[in-house]
Amino acid sequence: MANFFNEGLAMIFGVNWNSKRQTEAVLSLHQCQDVQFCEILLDNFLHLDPAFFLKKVGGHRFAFHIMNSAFLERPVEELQEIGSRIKNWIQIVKPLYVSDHVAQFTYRGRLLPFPEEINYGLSLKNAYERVSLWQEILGARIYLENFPSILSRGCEQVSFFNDVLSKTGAGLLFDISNAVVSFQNCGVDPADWLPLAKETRHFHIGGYEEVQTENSRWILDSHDRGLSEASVTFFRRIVSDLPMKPAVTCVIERDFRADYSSWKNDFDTLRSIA
Amino acid sequence: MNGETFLEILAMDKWKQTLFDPFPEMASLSADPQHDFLWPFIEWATQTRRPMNWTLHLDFLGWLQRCTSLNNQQVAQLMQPLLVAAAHRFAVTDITSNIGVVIRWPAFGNHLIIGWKSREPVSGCTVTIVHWPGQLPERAAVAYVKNHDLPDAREVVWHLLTEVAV
Repeated sequence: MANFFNEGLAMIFGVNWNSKRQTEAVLSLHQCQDVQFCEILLDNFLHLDPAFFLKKVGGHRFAFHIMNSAFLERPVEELQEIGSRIKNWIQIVKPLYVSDHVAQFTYRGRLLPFPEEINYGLSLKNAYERVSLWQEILGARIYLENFPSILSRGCEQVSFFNDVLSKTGAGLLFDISNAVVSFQNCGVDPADWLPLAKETRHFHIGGYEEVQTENSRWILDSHDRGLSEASVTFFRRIVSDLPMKPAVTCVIERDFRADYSSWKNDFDTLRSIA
Repeated sequence: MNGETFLEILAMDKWKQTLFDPFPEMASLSADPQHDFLWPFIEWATQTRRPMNWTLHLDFLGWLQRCTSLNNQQVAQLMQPLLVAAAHRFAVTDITSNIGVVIRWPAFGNHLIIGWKSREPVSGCTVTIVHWPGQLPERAAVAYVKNHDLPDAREVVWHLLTEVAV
């Protein structure tokens, strides 16, 4: 951690490491010192002993991203069991941050094909309670990621995050490209996020896919290609507005087609701005 | 097209990928209009409230055996890929403290399928098929394994196997 803060006020860049599929590119980027930390999708490593994990891939700095905790809906007993293991990882690996998702994973006890955006208006009270509970179980501040909206309910997201973050003390993991996706799908002005974005220190950005149907056009957060011009432009605006502070991180996400040279291009682009 | 309709289409696409992408046999079979399995299966799974978690491919195999016009030989050809797909899905999606899952499928004879989560940070998950010389439950069953040690796991398999309805 000491080295991290010695890097002063510059933004540090990271890669997401979800699975074996990306390992080669992740390790190449690390070796070339193009990235300063690695955000692991903890779900896929949680069954391992964290000390063993460090022994095998130590020497890097890590952040934790959690996908399937389903902390808003999972029975408390299960959440406590999963949380106790995550807490152990936090204590041993000492990540830069711990992040999770605000989403709905099940419907009437059955798994959905993919996480869906919650109905913010109906979920507020439950969110206060569950975010607080999840932080208490983990013994850590949670950074919650904004959702790449498709439905019009996405218009309520900024207000929801304002309420929940202020009441629970949780942080925002601001996904810059998700805000662009929400703008293109349901018209939420990315600038609405700026007050919250200025308060946080942790960012994501990734590529997205445009899907054309017969009479409409949709944007999907696909993580399978380079960054769009709109995302880079919004990144530039955030960086120019960002108060100078240490330990600001940004992960460039790539889940599919994670080849080294293409991924590296995105790092070069953002590094020239930040 | 509104957002809800678009999401419904995406959902069916996602189920299709989840079900069929692990093995090409199913994709080519389902490309035949006579064998359009996806929608009838999803409808059945919804009506019977299947959990749609890693057991999805087990449910699908059971449904193929009972509810389709496929003959025994066609289903038999799909059995191993579907069992492997279920074990693999367990290994990549489950976040409990279990390290592996053991699947017993009666029509698969005296073989058990075991899906293992990765042993190391840089390795992937694996699926193994082991011959089990002893007696096994007559119905489909699963057991969860707590460590990567196969001999020990085989010792506990018999005691832990729990019958499941598929």
